Formats: sequence, C-alpha cells, structure tokens
Amino acid sequence: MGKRSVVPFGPQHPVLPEPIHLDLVIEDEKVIEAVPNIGFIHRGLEGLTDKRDFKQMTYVIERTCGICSFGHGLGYVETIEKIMNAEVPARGKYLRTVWAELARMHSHLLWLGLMADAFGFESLFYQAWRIRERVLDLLEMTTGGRLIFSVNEPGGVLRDINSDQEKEILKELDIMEDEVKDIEKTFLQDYTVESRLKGVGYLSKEQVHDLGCCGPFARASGLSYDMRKLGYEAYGDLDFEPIISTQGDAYARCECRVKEVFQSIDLIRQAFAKMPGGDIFNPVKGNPNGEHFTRIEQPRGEAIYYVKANGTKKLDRFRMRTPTFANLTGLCETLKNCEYSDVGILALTIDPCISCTER
Amino acid sequence: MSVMKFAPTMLKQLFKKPVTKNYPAEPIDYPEGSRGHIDIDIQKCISCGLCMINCPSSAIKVNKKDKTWTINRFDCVQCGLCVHVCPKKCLSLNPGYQTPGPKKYTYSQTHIMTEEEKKRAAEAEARKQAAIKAAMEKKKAAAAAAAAASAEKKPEA
Amino acid sequence: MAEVINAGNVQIEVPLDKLLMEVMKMRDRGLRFDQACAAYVNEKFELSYSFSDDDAYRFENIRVVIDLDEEVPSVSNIYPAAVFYENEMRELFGVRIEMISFDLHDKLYRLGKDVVYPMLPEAGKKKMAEEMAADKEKAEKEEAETASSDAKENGGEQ
Repeated sequence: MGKRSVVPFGPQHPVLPEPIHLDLVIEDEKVIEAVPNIGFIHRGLEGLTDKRDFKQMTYVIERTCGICSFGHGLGYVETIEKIMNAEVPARGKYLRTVWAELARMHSHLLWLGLMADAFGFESLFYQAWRIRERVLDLLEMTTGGRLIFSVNEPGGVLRDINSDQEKEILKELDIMEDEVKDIEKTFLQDYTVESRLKGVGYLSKEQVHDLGCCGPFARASGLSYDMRKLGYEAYGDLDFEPIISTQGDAYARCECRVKEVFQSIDLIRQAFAKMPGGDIFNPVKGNPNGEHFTRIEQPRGEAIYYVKANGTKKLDRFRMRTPTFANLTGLCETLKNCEYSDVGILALTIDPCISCTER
Repeated sequence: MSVMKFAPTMLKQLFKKPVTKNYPAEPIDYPEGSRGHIDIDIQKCISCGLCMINCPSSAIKVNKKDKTWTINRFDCVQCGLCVHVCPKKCLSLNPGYQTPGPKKYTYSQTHIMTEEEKKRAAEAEARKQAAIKAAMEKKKAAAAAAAAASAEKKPEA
Repeated sequence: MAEVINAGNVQIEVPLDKLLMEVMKMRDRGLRFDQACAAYVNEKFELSYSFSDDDAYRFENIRVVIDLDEEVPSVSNIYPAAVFYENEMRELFGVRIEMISFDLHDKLYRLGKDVVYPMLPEAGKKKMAEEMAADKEKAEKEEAETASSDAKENGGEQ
C-alpha cells in the first residue's frame, strides 16, 4: 500500500472553464476519493425573489449562466404559466423549441471544443468553436443576443422569426451538418482520441440510476432519460428518440453529445416544417398563487424549477436544481479508482456548469 | 483506417478564407435587432417612470419633476423589459455597445416642453390648485357645520 | 409522431417521523432521487423531497413542514444521491440535518467566514435564534430539575 496524500484540484485549472475545487485523496497515481467544494461564485440569485418581482425574475434567472441561459428562462416562465394557467400561443411554443435546440447545439459544440482541448487536440478545439460561431450568429440574428436572449416572458415570446430568417437558419443548418460530420469522424473514429477516452470513467446503468445522474452523462450509460419526452412546448409534436449509448465511459459521453447535435438539427427542421402562424404573445394578468415543479431538458440534463408564489408580486421561493448539481455525485463516483491524469477529462465529462450549480 | 481522420478537415482549411475578422481594421456589422444599447425618443416620453420601476438592474432613473431620463449604460443588462413595458413606445433597443472610457458616464436626456404642453401643464396645475382650494373650503365648511351642530346639541344636553 | 408521456405532479405531505419510511417506500418502488430543497415559508421550513420514475417520468414529491429548530434525519443512507442536497440545505438554510453519510461539515459551499445561512431571510434567522434559545432554556431547566431530583434521591439514600 502506497502513501496517501491529498492533492487540491482547482479552483483554477486549465481544463475548468469555471471554478470548482476537488480535494483528491491519492495513493500512488490512483485517486481514492474526491471531495468537491463549490461556492466560489455563489451569488444568491434564488434569494433575489424578495427584491424583484416575478416578471423581473425572468431576466435575473436568464443571467444565471451564459450557456444554459435559454433553458433557465424557459423553465421559469413555464412554471409561472402552469401556476397562472396561462396558455401560450402555438407559434410561441414552436419558437421556444427552435431556440432551445439552437442553444443545445451551441452548448454541445462548446463542450466538444473544451473536451478536445482537455485531451490536447488544439486544432479540433478551434474547428468545434468555429461551427459554434455560426449558431451564435443565428441566435444573434433572431433574438438579438449571442448568449442571453431575453425573449421569454410569462405568456409567450417577445420576438418572431420571419421567413427570411427562417430560410437563413435552414441554409446554415445544412452547412453546419456537413461541418459537424467532418469533425464527428475525428471525435468518434480517430485512433488517438479513442485510445484516450475509451474505458475511462465507467459507470453502469444501475450506478447512474442510484446516483441520480441525468442528461447525456446518464444517457451514455444506457439510461433512456430525456425530459423532452414529457412533451413540453412543441416537443410533443416532434418525432425523436433519446440518444443512448451503452458503454458508459468518457467516449460514450462524447458520442452522445455529438449525436445530439445532429438530433437538434433534425428537430429544428421538423419544428420549422410544422410551425403554425399566428400570435406569439398572450399577456398574463394578475399575480401567481400556488406552487409547481417543472422539469425541462437542458443541454446538460434535467433541470427542475420550483416556484412557490403567494398571490403577491414577489415570490416566496424560487429554486432551480441544475443538472450539474445532480451529476456531482456521479463525478465523485467516476473519480474513484481512476488515474490521476484522467481527472481533468472526467471532470469535463459531466459538462460542469458551475455558475448554474451555485446560482 | 482510424488514423489521419483529421487530415481532410485540416487540408480543406488550408484553401479557405479565415473565418475571423481583421477587427479594428474591418468594422463589425451587427445584425438588425441586435441588443446593444437603449435609446430614447425623449420628446415622446411622459416621465411615467414605468421603465425605472421595472428595470431588473436599476440602471434607469427617471426624474418626474425635471422630466429627465438617465441610464447608466454599464448597469444595463440589455434585457429589453423597459422597451416592452413603455406605454408610449419611446424606448428602443439598438445595435452597438457602449465603449469603455476613462470617466464614469451616465447617459441623460431631458424632455423639453413644447408651448402646447406648457399650456396644458399650466392648465392642469391651475386645475389642481383649484381642486385643493375647493377641498380646503369644503373642509372648512364641514368643520363649521360640525361646530354649529355641536353648539346646537349642547343646550339640549 | 412521438409518444408523449404525460406525467403529473403528485405530492404527499407527511409528518417528520414518517419521512424515512416514505422515502424507503419510494426506493422499494425503484424511483430515482431527483432533488431535495428547503423553503422558508410562514416561519417554518418546508422540505421537499422529489422522486421520479425512469420509464414513466412520473414525478412524486414528499413534503415535510417542520419548525426551524427541529432535527431532520438524513435520507442519504437510503439514497446516496441525496448527500449534496442535504449538505446544501444545511449550509444555506440552516436546516438541522443529522447523520449525513458523506458529511462535508459546512464546507460544500466556500462562503465567507462570517456568512451564516445566506439563503435564510433576516426574520428567519431571528426566529431561529429565539427557538434555539427557548430550546436551550428548556434543556437547562430539565437538566436542573433532573439534577435537583437526583440530589433529592441521593439525599434520600444518605
């Protein structure tokens, strides 16, 4: 038995886009245990409910994080709409779906880039982010913001996509599909990438279930668990199946995310084909009273939003359970008995979004 | 064969134009509807203060007395809620971001009243004064009546 | 057209001493642990434990309403996924959760040293201090009583 020592990992580390701290208990080159510490960027956004009214909170919550911004806004307004029994016009629902899928694409492409950077494939990282730039341009064209869109409001959306923009999006999607196919070959078939990722950080389906993991991280272990199947917004009208892989290692998680980019492209095309005309916004009146839990599928997994309202403008409690928080237990489990050199890659495979986790 | 999978992508890249822009030399073109900064058509503004109340980041200050509208552009988060709630639709979100500078800076606009508005404001002020006066007189009369009533009641008791 | 799964929210309210039993039932039915959160409402803590189904996506919620100073047993021995939620509830709200299987001792969130229960409103902190003081007084009184009764008994023996 070797000598045990504790090595701090983070909060500043080249593979980490945001600060998270892990205390790694190490024996020789093996990690025995990992203890996470968060809270470096805790801003208390949930506590702002006693200072801002429920309509302003939409914009506060969207600014929790730059990547999951649209998902947060969507989940929050859905919860408010459920409490107030507000009906969103059909076109509004389809527009939200389109933007949610574009946001998923840019989040996954960001992650693919970061992953390539983590295993030392710099030029692949540039290629992934080059494609992501196209998505951001589309988002800026349709919503006005590159990362934070501020188009959701309880009762509908504030901006419409006109026919010129629709054509532009569909044209760009064709180009992007070809480009992602190019880099997909490198991510999924290249010898160097395969040998770096295969067999690293294995989790079985049962483990993922017990640890409460969600999102592509859980789907990579064979758990078909995708909140879009609940049929919120327009997902009920669209045809898709959750993408799962059975290997349960870092390579499978990479594979799931690459394939979800194609799935998103497909879903956007379907949404445009079925998109009805008409209103996009249906203003809500009065104040919410009641409580509700909403679950939506964010790029990183299942996010739960809980609102408790008391009939006044200010909410009693707002809570969001973000996917990264749920996957922290999974991260600690994968880190057990892994090589010290794999910690960086494994910390990335849960797609950590620490701003969301700490709120 | 699973080696050299990246080579075609790399070779393609050799014969393509760079995707980045030579920024300071080439200007950026923002798409129409980009969220850059808030502008105001101050002559349409009625200083209702709804934008100030609704602003999530408290960037907007409205002075009803002086009819000024002030925004701290670095507090503003470009959410567009003020544009959405404005009853006169005098606010707009336009492309182009605030550039940083060496001094603290707030953008301020004052509503200059036209002759007609001045006249209307004077009329409203006169009406208000008249209403106050009338109310005062009414109060006085009521007080007098009450005094008289109590004076009348006293002898009975 | 894709199959849409309609999953309603189910909520049951249980007293604190039944909590562990209800959570055990959830585990026996094979549900996964989704989340746990605390809310400070009307001078009480409302704890929500949520579970969901892997296949039917059914969402079930256990609600426990407790006083601010009550001790809550940890469910982390039943569901290992609950550890971080429970640590979070204790650090941010001051819910007194006992026997967490992976106890981080208020070090999950690296907050400032002088920050105590950042998500609990000021009124809640005051109320909690009052209840704690009342508890302490009561405990001291009981102790004094037992001590005096002990002394009496001892005196009787002598």
